[in-house]
Amino acid sequence: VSLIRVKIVVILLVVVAGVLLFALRERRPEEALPEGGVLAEDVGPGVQTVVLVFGDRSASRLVEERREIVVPDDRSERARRILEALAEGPSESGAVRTLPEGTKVRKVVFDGTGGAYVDFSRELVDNHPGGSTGELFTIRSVVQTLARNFPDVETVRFLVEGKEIETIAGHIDASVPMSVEQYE
Amino acid sequence: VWTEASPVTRSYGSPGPSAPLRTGRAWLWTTVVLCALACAAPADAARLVFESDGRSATVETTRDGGAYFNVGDLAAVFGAVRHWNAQTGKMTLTARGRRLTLTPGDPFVALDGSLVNAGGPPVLRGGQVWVPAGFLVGPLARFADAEIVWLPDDGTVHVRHLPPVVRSVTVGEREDGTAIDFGLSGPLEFSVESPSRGSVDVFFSGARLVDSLAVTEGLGYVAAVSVDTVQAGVQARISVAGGAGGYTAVLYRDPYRVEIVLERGRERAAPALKGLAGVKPGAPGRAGGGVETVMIDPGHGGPDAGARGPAGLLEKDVTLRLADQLMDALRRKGFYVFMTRSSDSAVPLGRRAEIANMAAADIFVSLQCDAYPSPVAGGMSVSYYEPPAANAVGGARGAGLVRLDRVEVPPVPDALLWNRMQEDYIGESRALARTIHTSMVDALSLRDRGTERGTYVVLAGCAMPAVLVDVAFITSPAQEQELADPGFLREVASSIANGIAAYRSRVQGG
Repeated sequence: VSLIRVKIVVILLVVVAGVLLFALRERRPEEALPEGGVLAEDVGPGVQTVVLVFGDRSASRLVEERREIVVPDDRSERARRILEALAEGPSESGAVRTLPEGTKVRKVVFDGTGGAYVDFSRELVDNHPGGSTGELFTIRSVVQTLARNFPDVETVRFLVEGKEIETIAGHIDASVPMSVEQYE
Repeated sequence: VWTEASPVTRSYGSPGPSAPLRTGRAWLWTTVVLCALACAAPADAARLVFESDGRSATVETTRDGGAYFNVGDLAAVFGAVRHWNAQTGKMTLTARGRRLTLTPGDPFVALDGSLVNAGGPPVLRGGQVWVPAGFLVGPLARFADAEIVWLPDDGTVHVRHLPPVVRSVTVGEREDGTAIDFGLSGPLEFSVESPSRGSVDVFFSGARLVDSLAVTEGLGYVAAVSVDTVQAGVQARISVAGGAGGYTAVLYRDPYRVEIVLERGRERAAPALKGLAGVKPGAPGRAGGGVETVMIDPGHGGPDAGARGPAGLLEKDVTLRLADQLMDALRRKGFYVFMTRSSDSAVPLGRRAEIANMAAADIFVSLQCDAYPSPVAGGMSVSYYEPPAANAVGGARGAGLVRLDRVEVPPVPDALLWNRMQEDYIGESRALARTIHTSMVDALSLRDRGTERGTYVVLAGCAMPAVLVDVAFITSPAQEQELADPGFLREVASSIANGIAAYRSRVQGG
């Protein structure tokens, strides 16, 4: 009897693991959404369609990419996973990565009044390739990705290793929260 | 000096000595008694006359045997900041880097840390501190670098301010070179020239020396400094040891001082700094309504290389080479030109604006290369300042602490005064950006990304029209090649200089 039980548990685990792996692999890139594209469907835990906002190749506009990723129930952790996906870069060729290689998202905190705080690892600053435009697209991409997936977000504050920073690459003031309207 | 004084205002109570009166019941009774006394002896006023410009002000007085003068009024007239320490019962006045501390009932005051005769103890009456005439002609006169005379018969105080004093000279090593710091008692005109590579002369016009000052021990690039009184002022000679590449000279306020930095690095002729004489009164560039002085800011520098091209070209080198070209082009057009850095050195963003403000520059131009993680992106743009969105500063977002694990994020303060300086100049900065942009579009065959707005830190503190020029994308292989070409940089410099000259014509109506 106990042997059968063990077998059932093992089979269940394999099935669950398989489903999870399949869901993780299932990244379906789509072409950029038209202006005012669809907001992410908030389907709670499990697989969720999220919107990642990157830059285009000529640095003239933002492009959106929809992906289905496995997200947890916890809102902060869900936001962290979405930004980690953003940090990995786009999967379609028309888009360009906006977060430097190796950037980790340590924590996301929502203050409940429209403010989001994102704590990045050092690589955000240390590996940033620079340029006003490069810096601007990093900010816009993070701010708009959060705004697309969490419509109540109004401002986003950038932190590195828990501390506030003056700028990401030497140009734009990053010591204040970034407004969703200003960085559209 | 006195033009620095804030307008005479009456501010009773805060920050006067009302705080300690809350500290105990005894004080409460004292207050009642003092108020009664104050009411019994009605307040009077003395007229204070500045002999230099005939300006006059009124100072409230009260009688207690002789006349006593209201310290709050005196502080306002002399442009000093008052601070009342409730714990120690002491009042401190600070102005131009000097410090005067007095205690009601104490016949001594502390002036810049040393104890001197107060000329009679100050008194506390009606929640205010009052000082006798002896205080005015004694410690206050020294505090204000003035001669003060009290004429009780016609109730006037005469103030004749003395020429500024070169008070101190100190030499210190810094990251970017050797700094020689001349401490001053007030603002004055100064000029700097380097008659040979072996010396730099600084002349303080109309200044006087109290003690002879000299530094004979060498430090860094300084072999010796001698300071002497000459006919029309004070002359300092800095003997320069070998290896210095150039110098910069800046006048700072609060306290007033002139800082000369002998910089290491490139062996180049020291730039003439004759135009950098004194700080113009009022908003820079507004006094004469002219556009004369341009501060060029070569982006990045030192350990901060900025962006890097695919072939290895560094943004910090491009911006410095372009700055040199732009300096030449602007000088040919008759501008005074200064740079926030003239070598491969690190200058913090806030300091760049500070240097421009201290030099009273009329225009600030930050030079940058743009960059983007795709080789396809390219073009040039000219940007000006835009403040952070209203919902990003102050308001609910600034109200409390947010906890991130063990990290406490401090609330966002309302933007500091320093950071808001550019807000008064945004309209002019936009006009300047458009003029430079038009000139660049006409002269260069680069893709045009237009004029842009942004919360640029380097522009935020500038008290003058300020723009940021992104010349081209160093991350585009083709544009990297152009940025490495001195001929291209000369064309860019020339088009920016033409734009600045066009702006000057517009402002001056020429």
